[in-house]
Amino acid sequence: MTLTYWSWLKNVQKVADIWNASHPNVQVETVWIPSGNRGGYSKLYAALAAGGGPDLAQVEMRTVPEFMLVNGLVDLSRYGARDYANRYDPALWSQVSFSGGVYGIPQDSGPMATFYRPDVLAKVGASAPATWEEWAAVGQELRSVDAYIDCFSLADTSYFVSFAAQAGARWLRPAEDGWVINMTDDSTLKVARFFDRAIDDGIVTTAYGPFTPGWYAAASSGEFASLTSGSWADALVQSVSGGAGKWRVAPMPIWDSTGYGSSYLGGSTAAVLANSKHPREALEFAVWMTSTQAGIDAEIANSGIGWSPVPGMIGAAREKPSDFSGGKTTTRTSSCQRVSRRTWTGLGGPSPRSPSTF
Amino acid sequence: MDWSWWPVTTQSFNILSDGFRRKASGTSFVDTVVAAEQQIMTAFRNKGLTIRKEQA
Amino acid sequence: MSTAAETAHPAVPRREGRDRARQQRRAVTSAPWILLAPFLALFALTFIFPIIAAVGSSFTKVTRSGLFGETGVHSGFAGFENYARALGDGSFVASIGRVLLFGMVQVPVMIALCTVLALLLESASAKWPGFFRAAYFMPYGVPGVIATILWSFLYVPGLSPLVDAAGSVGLTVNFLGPDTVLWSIANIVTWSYTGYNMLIVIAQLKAIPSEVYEAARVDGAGPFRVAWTIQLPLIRPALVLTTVFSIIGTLQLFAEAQVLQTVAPAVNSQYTPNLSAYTTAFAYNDYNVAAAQAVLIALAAFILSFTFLRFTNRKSS
Repeated sequence: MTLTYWSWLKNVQKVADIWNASHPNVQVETVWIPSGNRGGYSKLYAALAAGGGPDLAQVEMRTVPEFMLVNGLVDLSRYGARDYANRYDPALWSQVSFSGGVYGIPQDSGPMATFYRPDVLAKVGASAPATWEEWAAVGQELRSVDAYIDCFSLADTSYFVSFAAQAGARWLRPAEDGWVINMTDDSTLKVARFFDRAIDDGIVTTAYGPFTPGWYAAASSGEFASLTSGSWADALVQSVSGGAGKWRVAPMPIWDSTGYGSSYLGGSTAAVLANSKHPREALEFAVWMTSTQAGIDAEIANSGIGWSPVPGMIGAAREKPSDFSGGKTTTRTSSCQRVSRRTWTGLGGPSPRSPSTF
Repeated sequence: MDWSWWPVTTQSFNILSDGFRRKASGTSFVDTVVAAEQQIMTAFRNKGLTIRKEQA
Repeated sequence: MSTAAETAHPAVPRREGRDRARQQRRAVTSAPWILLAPFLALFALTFIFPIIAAVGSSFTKVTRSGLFGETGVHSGFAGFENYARALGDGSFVASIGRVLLFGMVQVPVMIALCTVLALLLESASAKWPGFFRAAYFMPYGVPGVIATILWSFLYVPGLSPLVDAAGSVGLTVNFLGPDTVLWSIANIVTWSYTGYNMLIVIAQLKAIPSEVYEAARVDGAGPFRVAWTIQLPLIRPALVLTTVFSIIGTLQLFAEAQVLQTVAPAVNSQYTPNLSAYTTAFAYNDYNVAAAQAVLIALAAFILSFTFLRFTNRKSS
């Protein structure tokens, strides 16, 4: 049989080929689609509405419920997905689990960290801020040397959502009698007030969001001291012209008394679509790709995926030291790992994390 | 982290960013978040879904 | 064959003969329809049907129950609910207002510009008219998406030599700010379409018989007098046509806004009516409200074009 897999990961066929070599009876064919809201989803929606579509598709974490709304995803718990739950980061697994079902297999995620330029921060004698209060104070000083601590994207709300989640917000939850919304909790309002002030004080620029042409131009002239973003931003900040080797990574700033050590930005799943005739095999492929050493290494080497969804299996390539360590013994992986471990294993407990544990 | 996504995330993100863009003309993020909550509830109801505000 | 038919004829009973005549008459009346059928089928399928489907969709609603619609999905007649929702959406209404403002400024500027260019290129003293005609027309060959990407290199601070140059003389310009980005789009649209409209005007100018010019010259009319009293009145139909096209084009603004969205935070997901319908359909997956928005946009284009034509016709009569 042949499974089709629609995804916007680059060179994902090479990942599938590794699977195909060892699974002659279940061949996977990949088809590239534009990423998510840039056209990939509308293709998927149209295919689903026409009663067709691929067996598997890349669907972002946050879009899984949207596909559930059009009855587009297979509940994988019927095919034994729960047996694999223990392999995955519980925080990610919980984001694909709804009403007792499992609607996607976590593929990658973006634990957040702060990428910073020590040379720019040194102009005001600062180092990477550990708390958001420090971040604002450093940002204030940076204005005297014509630099910004960061930008604030008005167009891409996902940053704000991730900051609010870090502060402890939970905007919506499913309940027996329907959805329950709470966007005006103390954490969200605190974050909103914080960035209201940051913009009013001119600490951040809102003229452009991260990785837009304007941002790249400003970043290459050293206008930005830092960027707090998902782990996948490492390759992007390295691609700032003249920026190679100048960026370092640190844990993201924390909110003083509440919330978590870090947050997630982005993340996607491999989901099995409703019209698949071979959901069981599709599930097996998805699990192989996202949670085995071979699958993860192939995904990193060929597709440059974000952070692996499997704790303790970050991918061989990422266990080596990188530019972000500045040649010291700490590696970029260990700092991202520290962020994600801090965040995602510490979450089980009800007590908010304390800053000293960094 | 205790977080779930919901069925109208794309629309919710756009509601928020359309509000954030009004920061330049003086609408604070706090006001935007409060208004967005109402608009997102409307978006849910327009799809026929049930939603209610968390009781404090 | 015919002889066989003729000999067979008398043997046919009267009744059958009448039937046959009726059949022939029926064949005569149905023949055109059979011949028209391929056209009508294609016309209905590719022209009428999509319109009916869109209008039908705009009167339909889908409601779901449960957290994700897992306990039931119903689709039914919505009445004007989708229209009410589209018109109750402040951002959609604002987008219509925005393109109206855009059209009121950009269309007259562009039509005036293309008329001036056409008159200059068709004037007796024009140098290399062929070259300039091609040069002005060239931007029309650049797809809107590419044109916007090209212009965005002149708009984005840090990349733009224009912003840098203005900065070096102490001027702060922001082409992508909330108040300026609409006019930055107008500039791209004007750049793209002036040459195209100019060609339509030139075609009409070339159709003016040379005797008219000769007569004018004999009467002692200078170039300005010729332009004002001969050329302008005679190219009126071309100006009306290009204006109507431009009004419709304004309401259909899409690619420029969508591409600038990535560099201009001020461009939101519902910046133009078309972008709004696109977002509603493909990002929110709400085809019914999107269909209502589409019908409203089409109605607006129809009303505006019709009003403009009525207005110009009344003036000319």
